[in-house]
Amino acid sequence: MIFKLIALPIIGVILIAGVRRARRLDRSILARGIWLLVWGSAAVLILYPEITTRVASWVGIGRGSDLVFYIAIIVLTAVVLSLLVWVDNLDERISKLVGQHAIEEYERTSRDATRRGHHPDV
Amino acid sequence: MSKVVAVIPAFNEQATIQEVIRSVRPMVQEIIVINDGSLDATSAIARAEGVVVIDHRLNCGLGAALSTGLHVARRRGADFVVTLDADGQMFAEDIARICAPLEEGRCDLVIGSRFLEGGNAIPKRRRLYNRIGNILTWALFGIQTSDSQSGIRGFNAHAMDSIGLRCSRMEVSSEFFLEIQRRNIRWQEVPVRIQYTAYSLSKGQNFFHGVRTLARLAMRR
Repeated sequence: MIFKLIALPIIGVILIAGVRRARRLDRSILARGIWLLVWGSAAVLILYPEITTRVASWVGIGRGSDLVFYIAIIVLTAVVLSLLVWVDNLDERISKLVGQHAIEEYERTSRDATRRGHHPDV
Repeated sequence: MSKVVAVIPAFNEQATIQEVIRSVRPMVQEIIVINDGSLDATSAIARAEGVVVIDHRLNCGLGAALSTGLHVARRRGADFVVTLDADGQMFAEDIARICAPLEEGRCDLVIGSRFLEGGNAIPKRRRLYNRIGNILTWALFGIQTSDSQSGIRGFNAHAMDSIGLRCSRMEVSSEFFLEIQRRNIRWQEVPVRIQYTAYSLSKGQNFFHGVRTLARLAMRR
Protein backbone atom coordinates (compact mmCIF):
# COMPACT_ATOMS: atom_id res chain seq x y z
CA MET A 1 0.00 0.00 0.00
CA ILE A 2 2.82 2.41 0.91
CA PHE A 3 4.49 1.71 -2.44
CA LYS A 4 1.26 2.53 -4.30
CA LEU A 5 0.84 5.76 -2.32
CA ILE A 6 4.36 6.85 -3.25
CA ALA A 7 4.60 5.54 -6.83
CA LEU A 8 1.21 6.53 -8.22
CA PRO A 9 1.47 10.28 -7.52
CA ILE A 10 5.00 10.29 -8.96
CA ILE A 11 3.79 8.55 -12.13
CA GLY A 12 0.86 10.99 -12.31
CA VAL A 13 3.23 13.96 -12.19
CA ILE A 14 5.53 12.39 -14.82
CA LEU A 15 2.56 11.69 -17.09
CA ILE A 16 1.11 15.18 -16.86
CA ALA A 17 4.50 16.88 -17.18
CA GLY A 18 5.35 14.70 -20.18
CA VAL A 19 2.08 15.43 -21.98
CA ARG A 20 2.41 19.19 -21.34
CA ARG A 21 6.02 19.16 -22.55
CA ALA A 22 5.07 17.17 -25.67
CA ARG A 23 2.32 19.71 -26.43
CA ARG A 24 4.74 22.63 -25.89
CA LEU A 25 7.41 21.08 -28.14
CA ASP A 26 4.78 19.99 -30.67
CA ARG A 27 5.80 16.32 -30.51
CA SER A 28 4.13 13.77 -32.78
CA ILE A 29 1.00 11.83 -31.81
CA LEU A 30 3.14 8.65 -31.83
CA ALA A 31 5.65 10.09 -29.35
CA ARG A 32 2.83 11.23 -27.04
CA GLY A 33 1.15 7.82 -27.40
CA ILE A 34 4.34 5.95 -26.45
CA TRP A 35 4.80 8.19 -23.41
CA LEU A 36 1.21 7.60 -22.29
CA LEU A 37 1.47 3.86 -22.96
CA VAL A 38 4.69 3.36 -20.97
CA TRP A 39 3.71 5.38 -17.89
CA GLY A 40 0.01 4.42 -18.07
CA SER A 41 1.01 0.74 -18.14
CA ALA A 42 3.29 1.30 -15.15
CA ALA A 43 0.39 2.84 -13.20
CA VAL A 44 -1.99 0.00 -14.12
CA LEU A 45 0.58 -2.65 -13.16
CA ILE A 46 1.20 -0.98 -9.82
CA LEU A 47 -2.55 -0.92 -9.14
CA TYR A 48 -3.14 -4.50 -10.39
CA PRO A 49 0.19 -6.43 -10.13
CA GLU A 50 -1.56 -9.77 -10.70
CA ILE A 51 -1.97 -8.77 -14.38
CA THR A 52 1.79 -9.31 -14.88
CA THR A 53 1.53 -12.91 -13.58
CA ARG A 54 -1.39 -13.62 -15.90
CA VAL A 55 0.36 -12.14 -18.94
CA ALA A 56 3.64 -13.88 -18.00
CA SER A 57 2.03 -17.31 -17.82
CA TRP A 58 0.19 -16.58 -21.09
CA VAL A 59 3.45 -15.83 -22.93
CA GLY A 60 5.24 -18.67 -21.13
CA ILE A 61 7.71 -16.66 -19.04
CA GLY A 62 6.58 -17.85 -15.62
CA ARG A 63 6.75 -15.14 -12.98
CA GLY A 64 5.26 -11.68 -13.42
CA SER A 65 8.40 -10.03 -12.05
CA ASP A 66 10.45 -11.69 -14.82
CA LEU A 67 8.08 -10.24 -17.42
CA VAL A 68 8.49 -6.75 -15.94
CA PHE A 69 12.27 -7.25 -15.90
CA TYR A 70 12.38 -8.24 -19.58
CA ILE A 71 10.13 -5.37 -20.61
CA ALA A 72 12.31 -2.96 -18.62
CA ILE A 73 15.41 -4.22 -20.47
CA ILE A 74 13.70 -3.69 -23.84
CA VAL A 75 12.52 -0.19 -22.89
CA LEU A 76 15.94 0.80 -21.53
CA THR A 77 17.67 -0.52 -24.66
CA ALA A 78 15.33 1.58 -26.80
CA VAL A 79 16.09 4.63 -24.62
CA VAL A 80 19.86 4.05 -24.90
CA LEU A 81 19.61 3.67 -28.68
CA SER A 82 17.58 6.85 -29.07
CA LEU A 83 20.14 8.68 -26.90
CA LEU A 84 22.93 7.27 -29.07
CA VAL A 85 21.21 8.63 -32.18
CA TRP A 86 20.73 11.98 -30.46
CA VAL A 87 24.38 12.17 -29.38
CA ASP A 88 25.49 11.13 -32.86
CA ASN A 89 23.45 13.89 -34.48
CA LEU A 90 24.89 16.36 -32.00
CA ASP A 91 28.41 15.13 -32.75
CA GLU A 92 27.78 15.59 -36.47
CA ARG A 93 26.52 19.14 -35.99
CA ILE A 94 29.41 20.11 -33.70
CA SER A 95 31.91 18.66 -36.18
CA LYS A 96 30.36 20.68 -39.02
CA LEU A 97 30.51 23.83 -36.92
CA VAL A 98 34.14 23.22 -35.94
CA GLY A 99 35.05 22.57 -39.60
CA GLN A 100 33.30 25.73 -40.82
CA HIS A 101 34.92 27.79 -38.09
CA ALA A 102 38.36 26.41 -38.95
CA ILE A 103 37.93 27.25 -42.63
CA GLU A 104 36.66 30.76 -41.89
CA GLU A 105 39.52 31.38 -39.46
CA TYR A 106 42.06 30.18 -42.03
CA GLU A 107 40.60 32.37 -44.79
CA ARG A 108 40.50 35.40 -42.49
CA THR A 109 44.12 34.87 -41.47
CA SER A 110 45.11 34.41 -45.14
CA ARG A 111 43.34 37.64 -46.13
CA ASP A 112 45.06 39.55 -43.33
CA ALA A 113 48.45 38.11 -44.31
CA THR A 114 47.89 39.03 -47.97
CA ARG A 115 46.93 42.56 -46.96
CA ARG A 116 50.17 42.81 -44.96
CA GLY A 117 52.08 41.58 -47.98
CA HIS A 118 52.96 38.13 -46.68
CA HIS A 119 52.38 34.91 -48.53
CA PRO A 120 49.23 33.47 -46.91
CA ASP A 121 50.46 29.89 -46.55
CA VAL A 122 53.84 30.52 -45.03
CA MET B 1 48.50 20.76 -65.67
CA SER B 2 46.21 19.19 -63.07
CA LYS B 3 46.49 20.32 -59.49
CA VAL B 4 47.02 17.41 -57.11
CA VAL B 5 46.52 18.17 -53.43
CA ALA B 6 47.37 15.96 -50.47
CA VAL B 7 45.03 16.19 -47.48
CA ILE B 8 46.57 14.93 -44.25
CA PRO B 9 44.32 14.73 -41.19
CA ALA B 10 46.44 14.83 -38.04
CA PHE B 11 45.73 14.44 -34.36
CA ASN B 12 48.70 14.61 -31.98
CA GLU B 13 51.18 13.59 -34.68
CA GLN B 14 54.17 15.75 -33.75
CA ALA B 15 56.43 12.69 -33.94
CA THR B 16 55.73 11.98 -37.61
CA ILE B 17 54.06 14.97 -39.29
CA GLN B 18 57.28 16.64 -40.48
CA GLU B 19 58.59 13.47 -42.09
CA VAL B 20 55.23 12.76 -43.72
CA ILE B 21 55.01 16.29 -45.17
CA ARG B 22 58.57 16.13 -46.50
CA SER B 23 58.00 12.75 -48.14
CA VAL B 24 54.69 13.83 -49.72
CA ARG B 25 55.85 17.24 -50.96
CA PRO B 26 57.57 16.09 -54.18
CA MET B 27 54.47 14.12 -55.19
CA VAL B 28 51.84 16.91 -55.10
CA GLN B 29 51.33 20.59 -55.87
CA GLU B 30 49.91 21.45 -52.44
CA ILE B 31 49.59 19.91 -49.00
CA ILE B 32 46.72 20.65 -46.61
CA VAL B 33 47.11 19.48 -43.02
CA ILE B 34 43.93 19.33 -40.97
CA ASN B 35 45.07 19.64 -37.40
CA ASP B 36 42.18 17.98 -35.62
CA GLY B 37 42.39 19.57 -32.18
CA SER B 38 45.90 18.33 -31.41
CA LEU B 39 47.26 19.14 -27.97
CA ASP B 40 50.88 18.85 -29.07
CA ALA B 41 53.02 20.76 -31.59
CA THR B 42 51.50 19.16 -34.72
CA SER B 43 50.08 22.45 -36.01
CA ALA B 44 53.27 24.46 -35.36
CA ILE B 45 55.48 21.84 -37.04
CA ALA B 46 53.21 21.70 -40.10
CA ARG B 47 53.13 25.51 -40.35
CA ALA B 48 56.92 25.64 -40.15
CA GLU B 49 56.98 23.34 -43.19
CA GLY B 50 55.04 25.98 -45.14
CA VAL B 51 51.94 23.93 -45.90
CA VAL B 52 48.30 24.98 -45.55
CA VAL B 53 47.20 24.22 -42.00
CA ILE B 54 43.55 24.24 -40.96
CA ASP B 55 43.04 24.04 -37.22
CA HIS B 56 40.00 22.33 -35.74
CA ARG B 57 39.58 23.83 -32.28
CA LEU B 58 38.19 20.52 -31.01
CA ASN B 59 39.12 16.96 -31.80
CA CYS B 60 36.21 15.95 -34.05
CA GLY B 61 37.61 12.77 -35.54
CA LEU B 62 38.99 11.45 -38.80
CA GLY B 63 35.71 11.83 -40.71
CA ALA B 64 35.31 15.48 -39.76
CA ALA B 65 38.94 16.21 -40.63
CA LEU B 66 38.61 14.54 -44.04
CA SER B 67 35.39 16.40 -44.70
CA THR B 68 37.05 19.74 -43.93
CA GLY B 69 40.10 18.77 -45.97
CA LEU B 70 38.12 17.83 -49.08
CA HIS B 71 36.11 21.04 -48.79
CA VAL B 72 39.20 23.24 -48.48
CA ALA B 73 41.00 21.41 -51.28
CA ARG B 74 38.07 22.01 -53.60
CA ARG B 75 37.91 25.69 -52.68
CA ARG B 76 41.60 25.95 -53.45
CA GLY B 77 41.09 24.59 -56.94
CA ALA B 78 42.23 20.99 -56.53
CA ASP B 79 41.59 18.73 -59.52
CA PHE B 80 42.60 15.62 -57.62
CA VAL B 81 42.96 15.01 -53.91
CA VAL B 82 44.82 12.24 -52.15
CA THR B 83 44.06 11.75 -48.47
CA LEU B 84 46.53 9.90 -46.31
CA ASP B 85 47.24 9.29 -42.65
CA ALA B 86 49.78 11.36 -40.72
CA ASP B 87 51.23 8.47 -38.75
CA GLY B 88 53.87 7.69 -41.37
CA GLN B 89 52.73 4.21 -42.29
CA MET B 90 51.86 5.00 -45.91
CA PHE B 91 54.46 5.45 -48.66
CA ALA B 92 54.32 8.81 -50.45
CA GLU B 93 55.41 7.13 -53.71
CA ASP B 94 52.01 5.40 -53.81
CA ILE B 95 50.35 8.78 -54.45
CA ALA B 96 51.33 8.39 -58.12
CA ARG B 97 49.60 4.99 -58.24
CA ILE B 98 46.49 6.49 -56.64
CA CYS B 99 46.40 9.41 -59.07
CA ALA B 100 46.98 7.46 -62.29
CA PRO B 101 43.43 6.06 -62.73
CA LEU B 102 41.95 9.46 -61.78
CA GLU B 103 44.09 11.37 -64.27
CA GLU B 104 43.28 8.85 -67.00
CA GLY B 105 39.56 9.33 -66.25
CA ARG B 106 39.03 5.64 -65.49
CA CYS B 107 37.25 6.32 -62.20
CA ASP B 108 36.21 9.03 -59.74
CA LEU B 109 37.54 7.55 -56.53
CA VAL B 110 40.52 5.32 -55.80
CA ILE B 111 41.05 3.24 -52.69
CA GLY B 112 44.60 2.21 -51.89
CA SER B 113 44.48 -1.43 -50.85
CA ARG B 114 47.07 -3.03 -48.60
CA PHE B 115 45.87 -6.50 -49.57
CA LEU B 116 46.02 -6.57 -53.39
CA GLU B 117 49.72 -7.38 -53.53
CA GLY B 118 51.74 -9.55 -51.20
CA GLY B 119 54.69 -8.24 -49.27
CA ASN B 120 52.93 -6.06 -46.73
CA ALA B 121 53.62 -7.31 -43.20
CA ILE B 122 50.19 -6.70 -41.72
CA PRO B 123 49.56 -7.87 -38.15
CA LYS B 124 47.06 -10.72 -37.86
CA ARG B 125 44.69 -8.67 -35.72
CA ARG B 126 44.60 -5.90 -38.35
CA ARG B 127 43.87 -8.46 -41.04
CA LEU B 128 41.00 -9.84 -38.97
CA TYR B 129 39.48 -6.39 -38.28
CA ASN B 130 39.76 -5.49 -41.93
CA ARG B 131 38.15 -8.76 -43.02
CA ILE B 132 35.22 -8.13 -40.66
CA GLY B 133 35.01 -4.57 -42.03
CA ASN B 134 34.96 -5.91 -45.59
CA ILE B 135 32.14 -8.35 -44.79
CA LEU B 136 30.12 -5.57 -43.12
CA THR B 137 30.75 -3.24 -46.07
CA TRP B 138 29.41 -5.92 -48.39
CA ALA B 139 26.45 -6.70 -46.10
CA LEU B 140 25.49 -3.05 -45.52
CA PHE B 141 26.30 -1.48 -48.89
CA GLY B 142 26.61 -4.41 -51.32
CA ILE B 143 30.17 -3.44 -52.26
CA GLN B 144 33.04 -5.91 -52.34
CA THR B 145 36.38 -4.43 -51.32
CA SER B 146 39.69 -5.88 -50.23
CA ASP B 147 40.46 -2.96 -47.88
CA SER B 148 37.47 -1.27 -46.29
CA GLN B 149 39.68 0.45 -43.69
CA SER B 150 42.29 1.87 -46.05
CA GLY B 151 44.07 5.04 -44.97
CA ILE B 152 44.90 6.33 -48.46
CA ARG B 153 42.35 7.38 -51.08
CA GLY B 154 42.16 9.53 -54.17
CA PHE B 155 39.29 11.68 -55.44
CA ASN B 156 38.57 13.64 -58.59
CA ALA B 157 36.43 16.78 -58.62
CA HIS B 158 33.22 14.83 -59.28
CA ALA B 159 33.79 12.58 -56.26
CA MET B 160 34.69 15.54 -54.04
CA ASP B 161 31.55 17.41 -55.07
CA SER B 162 29.27 14.39 -54.75
CA ILE B 163 30.37 12.89 -51.46
CA GLY B 164 28.64 14.19 -48.35
CA LEU B 165 30.29 12.75 -45.26
CA ARG B 166 28.24 12.61 -42.08
CA CYS B 167 30.28 10.25 -39.91
CA SER B 168 32.84 12.25 -38.00
CA ARG B 169 34.93 9.45 -36.50
CA MET B 170 36.78 6.35 -37.72
CA GLU B 171 33.65 4.90 -39.33
CA VAL B 172 34.17 7.32 -42.21
CA SER B 173 36.36 4.67 -43.88
CA SER B 174 33.25 2.54 -44.38
CA GLU B 175 31.03 5.56 -45.06
CA PHE B 176 32.96 6.21 -48.27
CA PHE B 177 31.52 2.94 -49.60
CA LEU B 178 28.02 4.03 -48.66
CA GLU B 179 28.59 7.22 -50.65
CA ILE B 180 30.03 5.24 -53.57
CA GLN B 181 26.85 3.19 -53.63
CA ARG B 182 24.45 6.12 -53.16
CA ARG B 183 26.06 8.54 -55.62
CA ASN B 184 26.97 5.98 -58.27
CA ILE B 185 30.62 6.91 -58.03
CA ARG B 186 33.01 4.98 -60.29
CA TRP B 187 35.73 3.53 -58.11
CA GLN B 188 38.62 1.13 -58.14
CA GLU B 189 41.32 -0.23 -55.90
CA VAL B 190 45.04 0.03 -56.49
CA PRO B 191 47.71 -1.81 -54.51
CA VAL B 192 49.65 0.22 -51.96
CA ARG B 193 52.43 -0.59 -49.54
CA ILE B 194 52.35 -0.05 -45.81
CA GLN B 195 54.85 -0.12 -42.98
CA TYR B 196 53.58 -0.69 -39.48
CA THR B 197 55.53 0.71 -36.58
CA ALA B 198 54.89 0.49 -32.85
CA TYR B 199 53.80 4.14 -33.10
CA SER B 200 51.31 3.65 -35.94
CA LEU B 201 49.88 0.51 -34.33
CA SER B 202 49.26 2.42 -31.11
CA LYS B 203 47.22 5.00 -33.06
CA GLY B 204 45.03 2.57 -34.99
CA GLN B 205 41.63 1.05 -34.42
CA ASN B 206 40.76 -1.60 -31.87
CA PHE B 207 37.87 -3.97 -31.26
CA PHE B 208 35.72 -1.35 -29.51
CA HIS B 209 36.20 1.09 -32.39
CA GLY B 210 34.84 -1.69 -34.59
CA VAL B 211 31.72 -2.21 -32.48
CA ARG B 212 31.06 1.54 -32.40
CA THR B 213 31.65 1.74 -36.15
CA LEU B 214 29.11 -1.00 -36.77
CA ALA B 215 26.48 0.71 -34.60
CA ARG B 216 27.00 4.07 -36.29
CA LEU B 217 26.99 2.64 -39.81
CA ALA B 218 23.79 0.72 -39.11
CA MET B 219 22.19 3.99 -37.99
CA ARG B 220 23.61 5.86 -40.97
CA ARG B 221 22.33 3.13 -43.32
